[in-house]
Amino acid sequence: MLPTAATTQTLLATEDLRIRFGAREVVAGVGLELAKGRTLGVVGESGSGKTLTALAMLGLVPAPGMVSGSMRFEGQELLGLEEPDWRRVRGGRIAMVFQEPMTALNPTMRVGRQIAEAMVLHLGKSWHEADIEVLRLLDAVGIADAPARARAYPHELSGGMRQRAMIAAALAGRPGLLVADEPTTALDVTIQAQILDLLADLRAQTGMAMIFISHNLAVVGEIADEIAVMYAGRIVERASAERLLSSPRHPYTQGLIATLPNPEHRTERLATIPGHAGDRPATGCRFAPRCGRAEEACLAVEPALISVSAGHDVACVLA
Amino acid sequence: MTALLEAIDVSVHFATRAGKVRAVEGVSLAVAAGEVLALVGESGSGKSTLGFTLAGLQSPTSGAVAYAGRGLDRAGWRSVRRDIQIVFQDPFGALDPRMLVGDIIGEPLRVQQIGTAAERRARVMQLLDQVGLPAESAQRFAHEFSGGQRQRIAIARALAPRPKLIVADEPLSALDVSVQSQILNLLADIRAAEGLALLFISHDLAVVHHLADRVAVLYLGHLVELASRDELFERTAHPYTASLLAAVPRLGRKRTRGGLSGEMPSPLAPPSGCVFHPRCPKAQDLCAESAPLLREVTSGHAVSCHFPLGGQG
Repeated sequence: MLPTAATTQTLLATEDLRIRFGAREVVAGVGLELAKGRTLGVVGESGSGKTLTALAMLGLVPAPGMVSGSMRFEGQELLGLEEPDWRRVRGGRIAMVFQEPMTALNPTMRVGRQIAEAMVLHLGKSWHEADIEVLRLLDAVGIADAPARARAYPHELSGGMRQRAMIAAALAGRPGLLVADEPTTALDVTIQAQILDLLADLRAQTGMAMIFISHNLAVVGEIADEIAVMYAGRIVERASAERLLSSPRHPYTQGLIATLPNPEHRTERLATIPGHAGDRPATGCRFAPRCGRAEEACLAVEPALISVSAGHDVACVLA
Repeated sequence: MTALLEAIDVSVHFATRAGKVRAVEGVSLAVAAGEVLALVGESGSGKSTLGFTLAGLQSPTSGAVAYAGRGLDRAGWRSVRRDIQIVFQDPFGALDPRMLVGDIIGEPLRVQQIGTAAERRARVMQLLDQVGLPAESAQRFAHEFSGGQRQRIAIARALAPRPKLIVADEPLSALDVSVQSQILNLLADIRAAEGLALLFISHDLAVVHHLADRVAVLYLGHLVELASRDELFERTAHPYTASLLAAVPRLGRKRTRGGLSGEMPSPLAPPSGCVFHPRCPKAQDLCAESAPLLREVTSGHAVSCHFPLGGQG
């Protein structure tokens, strides 16, 4: 059961979010809503626009990308903010964890300093106060021997440790929203399990909301309250995690689930989705060329995301 | 079972400034003709190094690789080169962007001087069809294709000289989820049509369960468990294999918390005794003192553990 507006408070809401690079619209009208303390999973493949949507939430869409629409966070419109204002939001109320901590962390700066920075910038702490808090944070993210790790450079840590350090840096500004883009994709499964457990614990302790972006439905299914599936720049389906995984309505979501090998029900041949995400029609539903159920009507107009039942929205004329 | 390609007590060590990296330690296993053997492990397990050694891209520091019962030295490798082909993880890096796809696929035939130019062209067309690409692809460049299509090109190239075995190193990892099942089905089709063997290197246990006949699990350079697919998944004997299976997120199953803690130790300084003992939930004093030997618990199911699961001691 999804929470209703009466019982929860909206933290983030995007409306008709569009990101354009020249003539190419990479994100084409995304509406997301996230309540305080909740976790939204965003699932999509390469080219789905999921990462650019996340970057827009931190004012990090690279030039010459143009962002339009609306994005309100804690009641404030973020689109149109100037860079100095973005810097107050980024790493403060909204923090981000990236897939590859080696490139996201500054290689020339000691890990502890990078974590302390957010506290000095966003919480007005002195460097001395921040250095003490760093040790507590490193401990909280499960890094043993915190004083030594705080003095280490990123390359001196393992992949799993670096991801923990990046999570500590993200938490340092006490964010209301943590945006995590494929945070476990570069990690081995046993380390991935540790990071998923850590994120779930931290969310419970701090009450922060989270947007968890991944290509992996099973990973998202573990951590998300709600899931939005993106395809070619649009949300094609949105529902509670349980509902989306048990009763998917969009043929793309159904296809994604059916193509996964299932050790409980092994079959000689796997279901497939033909073609690839680059196959796009001039008009109508972007998934139609790959859809086994596509009809003529599908190519007429782009389907809108409409409610099929309470809290379950689908952008498909056949759903 | 006739062994087609065999690792016989293979160790691979690398000298680095920091010391000797023990990437593979005393591994013996065999791929039978026509079977799919999966090499499974996390990063640092040595699965790729072992796979490359079995493909002749890496020389063992000690031990030997044998093909059809004959140990392979440098001259031996030349004579079996066309029988063993390789498909890499990254279809973007593995294909020359300046070559036409037809030339890429035909290159192994040209290099090995197999057939006439006309026969090679005909073979390229046949291969394109087999991997599900249109004939006109031959006249295009690899960069014009998507990741999944490039992996099809790489597979066609590997098939060109009619090998007996393909070593595939994480061939799905760089592909989108919706494309992975296409390539998995293609690999299964090819294997059935050509009767070729596959050494499938992967970290993805669900994919391995789908494709493999037998599975070898590696940890820190050691072979810790080797069994048929069903044995391994249903009667898991090594605590590491069990932890690995439990850590995989799966739709419709809640992962139990409290999985493996810590990380794989450095291969520069492997632990004493059983290399898994510092992370093992079942470890006892003996495990820190003596390294277990790989032994059969049931026919065809070998495990390297002093206290295997399921009371199969």
